[in-house]
Amino acid sequence: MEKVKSLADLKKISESFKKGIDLREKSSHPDDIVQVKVAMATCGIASGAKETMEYLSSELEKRGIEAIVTQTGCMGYCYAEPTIEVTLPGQNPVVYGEVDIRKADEIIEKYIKTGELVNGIIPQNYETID
Amino acid sequence: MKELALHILDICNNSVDAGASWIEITIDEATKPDHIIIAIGDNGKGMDSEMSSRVEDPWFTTRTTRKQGLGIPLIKQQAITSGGSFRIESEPGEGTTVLASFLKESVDRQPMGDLAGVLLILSGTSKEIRVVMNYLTETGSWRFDTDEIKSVLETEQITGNGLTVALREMIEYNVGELNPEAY
Repeated sequence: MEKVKSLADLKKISESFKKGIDLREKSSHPDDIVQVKVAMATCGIASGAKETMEYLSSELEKRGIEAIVTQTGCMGYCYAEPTIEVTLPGQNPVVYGEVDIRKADEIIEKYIKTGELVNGIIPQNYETID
Repeated sequence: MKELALHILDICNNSVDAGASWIEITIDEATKPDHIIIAIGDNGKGMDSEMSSRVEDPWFTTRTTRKQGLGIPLIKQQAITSGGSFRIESEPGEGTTVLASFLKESVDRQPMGDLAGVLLILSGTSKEIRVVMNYLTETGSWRFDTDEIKSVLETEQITGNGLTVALREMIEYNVGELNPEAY
């Protein structure tokens, strides 16, 4: 495909990604889909929250999980950045700390897909049994 | 923080917190030779002169989750150590503009980094916030405007992998044309 260089090019190929947008606009019913908030204050940004957020939003879509990924402010866990808050439909939110790309992958595969908790929950009161 | 783009993201998040519906980022490599001037303006709630002077203090913050506020001090430090300057202009009820200049050739000047990624995160932050970026160099200028993108695509939201990939390509191409070192 030609490189997208201008708004006109963007318009031309827009049909190919309209579906993705339509999917997200369902977020008027945010209670039915997975919500992920990435803490993106100074502490988060400095620790790599931008990469974590980019990974989460692209991977969740690639893996066919209906989710909305947004950024939020500092949750006060600056020592454990990047932190993310995951809310599965109908459940209480869970906060994970030190979420690099590897951890994010584990959270998608285990917690988001199957509901199985993984290590790294904040406040630290949970540990998996080997 | 290792990239100028990350500082831009951080400062723009202050604008979001200040209730801005419009954020304009200007990256100017044309006006002052050998300098990169980054200006981030918003129409948020603004600050009085007392608060404007206190935000440069790392121990000042309006939030309650922690006692430090490092966003402004960090960008200021980067600007000053690279031989540039830093200034905040703000008016209560009008908005705030943060101005930082960097000496291009200084060894302490951080690279621009992933500007496209930062613009995309900001564009997806809220439907209600218009994000504009002007990139100016001696050879020309380029403007990114979420309102233009939304009207061309007849959509309210900038989201989804397909659109993100296409927009990244557009930003990197246009910024790269102006400054090949940026991309």
